[in-house]
Amino acid sequence: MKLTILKQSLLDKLAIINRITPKKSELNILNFFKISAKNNNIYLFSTDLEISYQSKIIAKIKEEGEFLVPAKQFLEIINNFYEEEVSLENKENILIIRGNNIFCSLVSISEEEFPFLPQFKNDNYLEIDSLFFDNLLQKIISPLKTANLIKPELAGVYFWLDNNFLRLVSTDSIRLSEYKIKKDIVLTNINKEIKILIPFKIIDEYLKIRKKPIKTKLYLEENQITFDLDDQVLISKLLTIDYPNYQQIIPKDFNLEILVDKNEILKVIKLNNVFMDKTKELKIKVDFQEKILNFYTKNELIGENINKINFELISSNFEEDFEISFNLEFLLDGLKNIDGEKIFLGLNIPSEMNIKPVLLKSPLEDDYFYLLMPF
Amino acid sequence: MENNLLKENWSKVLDNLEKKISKPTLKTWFVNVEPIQFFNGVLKINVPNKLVKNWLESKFNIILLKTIKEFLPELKAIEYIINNQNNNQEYYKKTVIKKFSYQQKLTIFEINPSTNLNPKYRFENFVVGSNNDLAFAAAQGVVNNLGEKFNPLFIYGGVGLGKTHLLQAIGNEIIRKYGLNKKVRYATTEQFTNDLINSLKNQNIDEFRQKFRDIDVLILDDVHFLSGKNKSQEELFHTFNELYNLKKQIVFSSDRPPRMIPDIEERLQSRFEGGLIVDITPPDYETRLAILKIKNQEKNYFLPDKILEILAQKIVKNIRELEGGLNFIAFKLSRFNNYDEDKVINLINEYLRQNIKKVSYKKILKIVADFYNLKEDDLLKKLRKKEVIKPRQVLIYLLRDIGKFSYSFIGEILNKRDHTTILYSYEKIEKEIKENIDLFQEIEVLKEKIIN
Repeated sequence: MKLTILKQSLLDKLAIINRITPKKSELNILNFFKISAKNNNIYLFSTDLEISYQSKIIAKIKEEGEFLVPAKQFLEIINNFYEEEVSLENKENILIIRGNNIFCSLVSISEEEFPFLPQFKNDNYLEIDSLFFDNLLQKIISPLKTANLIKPELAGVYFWLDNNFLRLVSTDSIRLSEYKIKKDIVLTNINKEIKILIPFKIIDEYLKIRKKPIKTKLYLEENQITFDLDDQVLISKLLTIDYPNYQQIIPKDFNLEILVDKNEILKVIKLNNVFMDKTKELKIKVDFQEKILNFYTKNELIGENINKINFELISSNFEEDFEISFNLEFLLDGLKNIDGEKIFLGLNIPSEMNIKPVLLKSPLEDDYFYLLMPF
Repeated sequence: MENNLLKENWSKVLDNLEKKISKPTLKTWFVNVEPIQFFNGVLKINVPNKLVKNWLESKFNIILLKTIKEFLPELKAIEYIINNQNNNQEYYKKTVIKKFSYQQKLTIFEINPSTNLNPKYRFENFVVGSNNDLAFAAAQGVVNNLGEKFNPLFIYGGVGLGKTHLLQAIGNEIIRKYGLNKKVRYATTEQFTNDLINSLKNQNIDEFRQKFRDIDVLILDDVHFLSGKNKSQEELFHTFNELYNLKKQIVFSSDRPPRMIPDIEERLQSRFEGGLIVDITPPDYETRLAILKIKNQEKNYFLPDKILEILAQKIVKNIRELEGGLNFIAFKLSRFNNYDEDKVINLINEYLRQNIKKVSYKKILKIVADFYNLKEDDLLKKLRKKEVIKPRQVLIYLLRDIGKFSYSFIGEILNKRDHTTILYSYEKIEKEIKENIDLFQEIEVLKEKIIN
């Protein structure tokens, strides 16, 4: 193998390679990734046995071939490479990395032992605009960041495609978010109903990949999902679980339906955050007569904070003041994902017998909602 | 070969393998790899994903065959099967961060979708006291003699006393004991009724019937909600007969004995009474304390016994409130480094205060009017018709007892009646429910409707 390549085009991909390559694998081989040079391209491939990543970069190939490279050291070398063009060449089990004034060599191991590239089939595909898809996933990802701690078996994006809609759902069992789009926004040959759970890890990795504004193609197989970005491919296994019928828990009636100004409530919450103790309990007192939400946070070690914001009443079947509290961070996660100036809040008064989640959404659009249980 | 034997020998296979390949290789490729079945010379092995499958097939197949053959001479081939379950569940469950243990959860995610049971309800964490020992013994009898001894088992008792816990524990214990050989289905009467309505609407009644009849154990909670629901009663009657004739176990719960459930068909009532009827009464102080101790441990709150004793003294109504109080105290105290007894008592009082005055008077009015089939206005007006008087007194009683509204406020709502009139009505009902069991039951039904 003998080739030259631009430093910058290697760097982007190496960051991902380095993330996927296990940090301390018992099996030495997995600390390596594979470069293969073929037809004026090089292909990088790494795996931690759960996720596999493959990418294609244009290079000047003088001699085709394959080589295993220790991921961590190679990234460090290329990171600090102070010339634009990198030449790579292998002599038996040594990789030589060369510039005009740089010469490094890395020791490799026998190539035969490296895991196979996983295969994928594109029989069942779904194509979606990458920027749009990224935005969609960003809006629902927050519950998954805590799901691993609270409800690991559900730590994934529930992907539910039926004849009319594609729904993406996430939960950690304290909050739940759903983004729903019309099926005709995506291009697909799938006609039956699909319900799968995509592991958080591949979603997280997918979001970190720098993409040109292109289409993302998803290929669905029985055990596996593939994210195809033309020059980069991510493959992961799917989780099988009977996802609970979460639609049962979406409240339909509320004691109180109100609108609040998004900027105002976000600022108030951030102010209260200064005074939070480790429980993160944010108390809100609803003043029904004056149509005011009162926020009051007291911390014996820091100080106290009092704020008020007005709300606009839509409807209520309850005419007294009450208090409700939420985990501040979880509330913030929901509020900031809602587009527009106003936010709809559907509240039910918590009682010992029956505690229902609050529903947050845009008053105008029905595509996104966020449910959060009070404390 | 028996499954257990397969698993036992598997560790020996791995030991032998380790001598042939390196330890890191073994650790990397054989995590979550295990045999599941041996049949006709073919051994099926679970592997975590496709990569491992390909790798084992091409690199280790021969060496595996040889090694396993030492224990299984009839072995001809190995089939590798990808297991899609999340393997790390058990490990993660133990490390759930305490930070979130106080937080309310969306309960639906705790429930097993095929049985509808919540695995947290078990026999072991059901506290047995003199108030429920008979019911507990009957529940165990059911598990050990499915469909034979007490069929149906009918458990009744007030709100929040542990009926649901016991019912679900029966289901969970059956699954633990009989595994996949017994199909269990738990449902609340509300779910049963809603499922029935939906299946009628979507014209897939067969699916509904399969769900509730193609099973070995049916557990139906809160059957008093069948009151007045004729279609559901009829469907349950036929479901019951079919299951009963096939000697399938049936368990019911209700907040009162069968003959006290109003508006229910006699033939269904007699089915309810056909097996064993047991009741659960409110727990005494010792039982309350024992419950708190178990919950305190389960939830890793580490509250000292002294606090639990105060809680057990102050909260007497039911177990649900007791548990709510415990969560509240644990959560509030988690932000203090030290606290004294007074602080704890103040917090408990705060909790008890919080639990009241959370129902709007309009809701109580609507529920009472609906229950007696009257117009809301008729109840409020100074109408002296006979059929309105009692419901109005019940309304006043509930506004005071559940709503905790002041007498003068209640008077204000009821067309500026004097507060002594209100006081009189309240006391009248309060006295009557101690003597008249029918009225007592009526009030209990109304209370439950208001609270839920």
